[in-house]
Amino acid sequence: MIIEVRDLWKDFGEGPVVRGLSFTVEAGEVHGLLGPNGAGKTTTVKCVVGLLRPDRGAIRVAGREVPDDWTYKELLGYLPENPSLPEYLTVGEFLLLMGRLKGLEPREARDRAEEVAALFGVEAHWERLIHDLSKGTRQRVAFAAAVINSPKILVLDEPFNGLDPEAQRVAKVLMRETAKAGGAVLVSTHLLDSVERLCDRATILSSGRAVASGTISEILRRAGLDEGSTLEEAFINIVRGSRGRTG
Amino acid sequence: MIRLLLSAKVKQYFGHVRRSPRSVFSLVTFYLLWTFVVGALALFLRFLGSSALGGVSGALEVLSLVTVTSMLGIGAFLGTRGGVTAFPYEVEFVLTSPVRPHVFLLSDLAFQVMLLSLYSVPSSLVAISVLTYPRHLAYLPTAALTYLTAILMAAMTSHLLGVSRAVVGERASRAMGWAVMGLVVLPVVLLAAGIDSPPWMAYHPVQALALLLAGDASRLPVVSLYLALLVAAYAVLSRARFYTAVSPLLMTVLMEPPRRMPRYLRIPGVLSASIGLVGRGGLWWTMYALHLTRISREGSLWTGAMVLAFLTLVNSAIPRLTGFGSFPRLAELSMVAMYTPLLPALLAINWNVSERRNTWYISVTGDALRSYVGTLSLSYLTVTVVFSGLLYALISLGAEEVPFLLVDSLLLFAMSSFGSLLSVAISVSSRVATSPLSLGSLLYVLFPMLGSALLSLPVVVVRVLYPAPDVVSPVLLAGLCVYVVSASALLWRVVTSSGPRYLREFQEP
Repeated sequence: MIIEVRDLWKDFGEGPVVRGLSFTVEAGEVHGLLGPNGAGKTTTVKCVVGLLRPDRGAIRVAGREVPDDWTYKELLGYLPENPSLPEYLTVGEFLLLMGRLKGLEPREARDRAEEVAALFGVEAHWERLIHDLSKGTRQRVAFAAAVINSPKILVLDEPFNGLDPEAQRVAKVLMRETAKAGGAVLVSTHLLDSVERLCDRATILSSGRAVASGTISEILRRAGLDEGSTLEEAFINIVRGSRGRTG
Repeated sequence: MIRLLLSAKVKQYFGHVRRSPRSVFSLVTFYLLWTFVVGALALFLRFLGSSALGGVSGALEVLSLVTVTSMLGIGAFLGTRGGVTAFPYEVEFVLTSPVRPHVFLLSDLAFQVMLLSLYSVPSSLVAISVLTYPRHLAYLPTAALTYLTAILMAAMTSHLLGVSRAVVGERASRAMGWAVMGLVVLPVVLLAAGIDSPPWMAYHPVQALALLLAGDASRLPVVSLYLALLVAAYAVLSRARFYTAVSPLLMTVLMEPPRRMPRYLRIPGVLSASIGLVGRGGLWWTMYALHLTRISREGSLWTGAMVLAFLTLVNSAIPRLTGFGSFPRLAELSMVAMYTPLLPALLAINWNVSERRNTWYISVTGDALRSYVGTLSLSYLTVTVVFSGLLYALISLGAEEVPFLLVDSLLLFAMSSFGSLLSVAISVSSRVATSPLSLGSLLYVLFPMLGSALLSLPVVVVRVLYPAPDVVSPVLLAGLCVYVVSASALLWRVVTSSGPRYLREFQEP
């Protein structure tokens, strides 16, 4: 497995946000992380990429302990929810910087920067300051930066925020290609229809716990629904059920 | 409605204090520390004043003039930045609601007066008490009222300049702001330069307020007249539709948004040159270029430099006025050195407000945080040495001789180096400063200034006490150099080894 989260706990001082969460993402898999607002999705994602240190439990990415063995970051592409970007840099500068940070040589970094800029349709903005870009264009730039090193592992938090259908399609193709090449994709999102079509497996979180996990069919069965039902119906059933149990 | 808006503003401003009792404790500690520092400064002035100015009243006059100049100067400075202290939520939600302009403006006026009073009145009253003891009870009521009047005038000036943006345009409004600042500092400049004040200077608002503060009641009609004029102008201008000119001042007061960066930096060729800087060389060079690019483009350098120059100018009047004997120039030069850590402190506040949230992309890419933190202090050092060196050179050119060049240069470097490292240490390891105008920002200023003064003590001692600092023995000078370099290296090691850990752990939930 490429990502392994085992018995993860995280507390910011007002009660645990994540409570004993466990799940795995295998090679060749796109894994969806679903849950209502405040379920602990972003906290989990931040723990996986090493931005937060778990209070308890273990996370292994590509066989390395997170966050102490930072070498896994060379394989990682990360897109945060509402990414904050350095507004004082131009698009070209930021992509080049990210390439260098990911360990690419200057020439390679430039080539890749131009490539991903073209892929996400931001090459026309190459010399514009990020400050001057629209929200959707910033999200494209952030996505391009996340994949500049052709990462084996993609961790994406609400990646479709502000993206138009064309850019969403590019993003989805990239995610599928990463998985097909033997990598792994962990995607946290509210867009259940996207998850239904894109993800091989998913984990549903509620109040920091995994309340369902498996393929989409397995989740539908777990919710007591038949194959013709939607993930949205299953999601609502499972989350309401889990709230009823905890309440 | 005014009360509602004001209470929301106060809750937002002190929001971080409501999170935990620890925040309250830290805030109170910083506040007491600030009051203590001002009191200690007053004690120092009292001794100087009584020996050099022929009594306490001379020192009181000097302090009053400098305080009032600073207050009204800050008001005019904020005016050039937009004047109205709107939070981002207010720009997005309050200004888009049917709240009438003068209602919003009055709530902000109350907020500014409250905030500036909180910052300055108690500490200033402590200073007045120290200076006038045992007759302090006779001075305090007038002083408190005068301070409040000065604060009200400063806040109204700031608002008027801000609102004028919507009436006369941004450029003209800024020009007016700078003109007002020039007028405000005029009495201090004249006194500091040793030029006799013309008779009409007695009617200058700063001079009148300062005299009133020092106990001269005959200035009351002049001050009242200025206040009445300001209120009248305020009543007229507050009806203007100024919402389009409001920017979230609390966030951007010490920087320029990139869209306003100097035109020459926006020329594609120049931007491309920066791309070369950022994309070329090793990781350390890339990080160093990144910091310098940010500092120059977001404008924090220019604003920080201006604040440093302004405060150096105003405060260099103190040693001259309190009569450091026959060599006030020398005091001025040392003053530049002692104020130098202000620049990295302001850069650190800006970093905390605008850049900390961007460090996620460094954190998730390999082990770049160490080089990020290391080069952050190097970039502060570069900027500080260059700017304070220029300021020092300008003042030296004004002087007919350049005494104590070696020791002063070493002091300048020591203060820059320690100030830069301590600024990085405090900004990386603490999240106190939520905005450039927050009380927590005081910590960002006090810690590097006091810390670097303390660390530079051996150089300061030689500078002050050595009988002939311009002919310091080479052995002593070499010893001082070794001390400064090794202490800086040690501090740098601590900052670069522990800084990344703090940055990693302080990622927001």
